[in-house]
Amino acid sequence: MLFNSGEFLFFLPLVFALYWFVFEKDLKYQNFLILFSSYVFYGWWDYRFLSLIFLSTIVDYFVGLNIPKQDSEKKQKLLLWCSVLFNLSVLGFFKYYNFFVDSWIDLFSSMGYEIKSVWTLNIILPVGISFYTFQTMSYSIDIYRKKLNPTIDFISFASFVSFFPQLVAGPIERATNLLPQILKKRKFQYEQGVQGLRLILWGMFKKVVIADSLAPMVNDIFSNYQDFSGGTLWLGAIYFAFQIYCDFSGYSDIAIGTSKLFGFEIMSNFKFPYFSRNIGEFWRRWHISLSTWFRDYLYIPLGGSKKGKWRSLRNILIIFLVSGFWHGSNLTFIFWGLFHSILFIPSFIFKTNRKFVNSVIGENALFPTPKEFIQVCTTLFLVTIGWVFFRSQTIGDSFEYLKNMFFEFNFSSKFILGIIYIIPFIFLEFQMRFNERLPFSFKLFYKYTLYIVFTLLIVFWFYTSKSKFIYFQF
Amino acid sequence: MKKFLHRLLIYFLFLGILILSNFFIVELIYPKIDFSDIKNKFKNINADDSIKVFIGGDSRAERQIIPEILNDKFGGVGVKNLACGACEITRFKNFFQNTNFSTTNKILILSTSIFQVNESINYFDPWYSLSSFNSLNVFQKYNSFSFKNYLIFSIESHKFLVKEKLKYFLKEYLKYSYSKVPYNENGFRPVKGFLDKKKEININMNPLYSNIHMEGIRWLKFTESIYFFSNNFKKTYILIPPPSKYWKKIIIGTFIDKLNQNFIRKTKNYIKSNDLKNIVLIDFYNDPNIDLLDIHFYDMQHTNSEGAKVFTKYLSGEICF
Repeated sequence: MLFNSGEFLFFLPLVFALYWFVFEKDLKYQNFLILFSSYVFYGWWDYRFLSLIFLSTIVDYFVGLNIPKQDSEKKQKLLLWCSVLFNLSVLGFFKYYNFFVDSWIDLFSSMGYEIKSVWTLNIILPVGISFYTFQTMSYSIDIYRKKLNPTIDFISFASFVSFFPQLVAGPIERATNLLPQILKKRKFQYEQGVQGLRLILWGMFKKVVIADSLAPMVNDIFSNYQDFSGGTLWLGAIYFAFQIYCDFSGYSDIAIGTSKLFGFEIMSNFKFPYFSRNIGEFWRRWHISLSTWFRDYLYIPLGGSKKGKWRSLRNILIIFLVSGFWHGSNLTFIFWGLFHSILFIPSFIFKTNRKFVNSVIGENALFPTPKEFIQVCTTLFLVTIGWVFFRSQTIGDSFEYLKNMFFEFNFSSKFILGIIYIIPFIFLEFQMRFNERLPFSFKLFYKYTLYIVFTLLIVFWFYTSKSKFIYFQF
Repeated sequence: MKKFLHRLLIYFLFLGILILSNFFIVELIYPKIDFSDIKNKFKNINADDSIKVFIGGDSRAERQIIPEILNDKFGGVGVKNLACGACEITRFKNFFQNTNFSTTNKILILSTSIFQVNESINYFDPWYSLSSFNSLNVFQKYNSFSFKNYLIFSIESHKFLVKEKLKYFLKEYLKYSYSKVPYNENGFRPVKGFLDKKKEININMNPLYSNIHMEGIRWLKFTESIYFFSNNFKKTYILIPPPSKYWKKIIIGTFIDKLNQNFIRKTKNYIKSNDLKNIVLIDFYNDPNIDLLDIHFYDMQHTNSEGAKVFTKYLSGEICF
């Protein structure tokens, strides 16, 4: 089920009403309702793949329960590896099997051996598989690290794994944060409910009005990039930067907002990344749940930055490459990761990557300073270049696209209109830059005007917006 | 919770009223649109059964097909031009349906173009305001255009309402010199003048071609109309009129050209897949042999009265009664 679908318009109020009015008194029933509605939500897309979520839930439930019972570290580790290998095998099979088979065939072909592709399978990629496998793995790892006690309540654990607001595209929630909330009695709070609705409105606006309006222009430019001048290609890359941001952060906002309606607080996934002043800051603000996941479960176990400069650099490279590969089985994503590691490593060497940790641009001013403005534009410029790798069909296409970007700077006026979406959006985001969880923090009149205008825009745009969220494919 | 639900209810009630009131305001505008041209033309033919050939469709049929030439060529079969500016074949069909006129032994020549099926409304032109809209029920009307377009449409409609509707409409948007040129007794409207080549053209900004969307209610109504003509007329010629060479040169290979080709292909496929043997599509858009020069046009798409003679003569070689 898509957030931007007619079904969800009925689904959400129905679950909300049952949750707070019918099952309010019994936590078990409330959790069962969450589990049931999450399975309906996911099964609406393809009920066959519910079995995968269920299997993943069972494996990690039993692994989690049994890790503390083991008397030796070795046995605990063995159990943990069972969970990790199971989850990565499922992910690997559905997401990367064909990629590896095709890569082998290509490799042999390049050496002069022609192999028929009998191993390639017609595999459907289950929606959200990369998100929920990472979520369940973190549960077992946290128990192994003694950061979390396992739960014996299967329904609550299954609700944690399949929690519908963030099931298909994150944020990748940690058991240490979400599970205790599931196990505790919730009470409806007016402020939390209002904040939830505001986030849903803001997220819907980003997805339905901005991202889906930019999408046709982006598709047109990237599909026919050979026909366009450099100016238009720049527009295409910038539009994609905002499309993917509005699409993905829109989903995250709706997920956080929906969770709030049910009394849950899940982690933030985006903190205005396009106002970052360097690439380090960008990665602290972009897809936070994934980057912190990789930091905690890959970068630190590899040694982090504590074991010498060269090992740190190696670890950074690994993190970015894996992060790229996580997005899909295409070399373009790996190049995107590599590109970002190239941008990040100098700031790590010169120790500027931790700059701007606790500040935002224009902190005590109405506008950013000229220096900040230049820093933000430079970061956005580099990130936009990176998006070309991410969006292109093949690596060859991305290099060709990048090359063409620097020739003929005239614009195809057909695409200029996209700016109309971006400029007011940047202005609004800038006004909200202090807290990503509190959109519409304006004076009463402006706030209500924006509520009305945004809802009307969503209503009118909703009809034409039938596209899936980009991150569903990852 | 009570406070939360109470406020939510008030909010959505307010929004609902806003959307509905907007919808009814837009609704009120429609009956006031002027259909006098086509009404008069149909009024004149009601009593007359000597006519065997009807010309229908939009401005290009109205100003490019001379009934007298066809009449002479085919030995006085009786030809009437019922076409009007911005009259798509769906509206034409609706008028025929309302006349109780026997048509089974009659021949129809219709002009069409992508504007007759375009769902996109981002420019207040006659193509959607005078479209098949009146043949739809209230729900179809609401669904016929996407909500996004409907919003733009309603904004334009409000503008229209405020600025004295039709008066403003004719003054500001329809700067057509020919609107005052009367049509002759057979319905042909001769327009004089020549194509202004100096005019700067930015095809990407041409509002008539932006956001073209051919997959909606209008396409459905368009195909239903073709089906209706197939069942109710002996033979129907559907013409894709020729543009001026100047315009063709500008648009060749561009998205406008692709849109036109796509429309022609879609229409052909519809006729073929439904096995409509008495419907003949004549594609003058891609016809290299037609001898129309730029001096035969008064604008990019429409021939002047001299061009109309050339075109009608050429057309008469392509059809038979």
